[in-house]
Amino acid sequence: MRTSLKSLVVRINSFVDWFIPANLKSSGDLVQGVRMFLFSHVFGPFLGHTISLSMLYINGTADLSWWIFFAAVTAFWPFPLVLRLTGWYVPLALLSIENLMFCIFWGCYQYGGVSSPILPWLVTVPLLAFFYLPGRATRIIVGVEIVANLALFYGIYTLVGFPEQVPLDLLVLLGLVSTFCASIYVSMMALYYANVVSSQAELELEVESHRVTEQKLREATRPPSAPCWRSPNSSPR
Amino acid sequence: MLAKLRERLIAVIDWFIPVELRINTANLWRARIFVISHLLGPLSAVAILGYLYRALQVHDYVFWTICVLCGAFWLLPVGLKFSRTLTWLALFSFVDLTFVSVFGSFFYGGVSSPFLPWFLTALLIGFFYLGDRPLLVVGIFAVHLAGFSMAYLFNGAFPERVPLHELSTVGVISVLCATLYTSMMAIYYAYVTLAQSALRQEIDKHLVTATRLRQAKHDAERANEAKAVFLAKMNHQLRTPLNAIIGYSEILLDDIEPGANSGDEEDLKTINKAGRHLLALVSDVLYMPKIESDNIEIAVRSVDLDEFLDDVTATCRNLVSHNGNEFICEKSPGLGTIETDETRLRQILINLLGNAGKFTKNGKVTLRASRQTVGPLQQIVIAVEDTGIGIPPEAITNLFTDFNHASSVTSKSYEGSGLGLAVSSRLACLLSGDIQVESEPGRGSVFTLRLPAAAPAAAIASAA
Repeated sequence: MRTSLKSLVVRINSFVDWFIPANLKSSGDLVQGVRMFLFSHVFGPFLGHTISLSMLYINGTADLSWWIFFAAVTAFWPFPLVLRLTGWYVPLALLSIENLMFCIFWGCYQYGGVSSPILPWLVTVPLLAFFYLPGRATRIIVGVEIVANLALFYGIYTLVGFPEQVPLDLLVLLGLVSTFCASIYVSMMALYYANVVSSQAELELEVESHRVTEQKLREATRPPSAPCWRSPNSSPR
Repeated sequence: MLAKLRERLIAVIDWFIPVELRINTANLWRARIFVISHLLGPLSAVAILGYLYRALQVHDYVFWTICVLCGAFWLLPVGLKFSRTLTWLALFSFVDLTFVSVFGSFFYGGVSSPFLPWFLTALLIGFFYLGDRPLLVVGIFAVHLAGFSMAYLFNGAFPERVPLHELSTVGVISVLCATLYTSMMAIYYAYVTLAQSALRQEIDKHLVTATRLRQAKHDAERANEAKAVFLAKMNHQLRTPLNAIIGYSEILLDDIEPGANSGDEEDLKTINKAGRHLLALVSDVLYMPKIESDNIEIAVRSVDLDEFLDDVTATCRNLVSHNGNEFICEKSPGLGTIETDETRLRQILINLLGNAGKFTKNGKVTLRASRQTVGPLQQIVIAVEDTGIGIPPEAITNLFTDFNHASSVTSKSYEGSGLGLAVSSRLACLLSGDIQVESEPGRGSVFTLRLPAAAPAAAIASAA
């Protein structure tokens, strides 16, 4: 199981690696985040569209609000290509996080408000964002971005209120589909992360073994050992 | 200040973590995240349950079941401390959170429940702690999700114990808490990934260094081989003409008629003396690399020390006394035998006595031998004491280093390659012993050789 999982990860990595621009490939700190960015932008929208189709099924008609949601989810797909062409990783990552939150809050706004079954998707935002942008400064920006969006959402809810386009009773199907899709998404991410974490111990062992080899090699290349004689003593007899 | 606070917090967290889980950084941090999340995580449950407590008119088994299951999280860090295993506790935690999430969601709000975001968090936790058992995680999660859906289908609807609009605020709080919780995990993952890239960089660096070192080792071995070949050739090339010079000078000296008063005898003696000196130098220079490369055979056998020392004394008498020195040999009674390589031991003593004779004029050189007991072992102590020029303290450190005379003055005033002590010291080392020196400038020196009376196993193996 572990071997097949690893080979799957390797294959996915080689596929998504094609989108990584040369300037980011050489950046050891960012390349894993970039890979995850591409990974989620290539496969994530499939899950997003499962939800948009559920919305369409519940609504019965593709109105403007649905098309906006559909367009926002579809907008994730061009990100890898734009990244390959421009190499603007950080701006694209921030834009992507904003777009994800827009999808979530727009979906909530239209389907259930603060009680929307789409709201739990918010837990996936930090999972992506903090991984895309590992620096402390960008982490703060992302944190502020999440809180600001949530505050805006709650502010609109308390001050203006949400349109109840679909009664909450009818949202059960959407809720189950959304939870299922979010579970798959979290599973994909978590499996990737679990793989990263499990290889951490292997890497540590590898480094340790290299250290030992290096020490042995240093000893092997050192000049012959010093003579063994007792510590000198020049005190008068 | 912050660093101190961080240290204290980590110390508190680490109190719960058994030593078995600290085998590497990854495991340690996984355990730390477990402790932190189980100490702080249930606080968000307190917020939701507190809200529910106020909103509910009847607090039945559903409410209290959730309370108990949420409270159980607080016991897990303590469980970790005493059970010393993370896997089973993590499994319990994952199942507990998954169950509480679907159970709470079913009874309080259905798909709009404030408990639902924790269902996703549970999945994340499951993979985090049980990432090596993904099927188990997916299986447990799928069973709960299926149970939740089936319960809804059988019931026809989610029971409305609290009106949905009353759960909206707590729903937002719950999502926020779950998001914070996920953030903590995500930051940890980001940290691990960063650490990994640092580790990868270090591995790359080590690989480069290892390649260089291998090359250096290869070069050194080749140079050593070349040196060995060169020395073997030089040994032959130098000794042959030198032996001829010494041999012919001796023949010519023998041919000079006694009483013949010509300068030839003095010239021939000078040639002979210079030839012998050169031969000794060549022997030292060629012998040193053999010792350095441990390419020297040790033939251990039992040696009668009384006889051996008498023999050495006789051999070295001229060597020691040619500067007008008095040569004394003091042997303690009961010296007995020593298991060692006689030839190497003789070589050491000749070197030490030769040095004593060389650096002492009209003085006294004493060879002193005794048997001592050190713990369970018997050792032979042979000291060569002289009343010569002595060695300045600053010169003692490098005394046993190759080509080092005690000072530049001695190197100019006295003959020799400066290898004698280095050779002796390394030979002593090969015989599992050592040489200690005590000296005072102007008063003399004592070189003390200590050897085990019985040959150590390593020396015997080497001899075999």
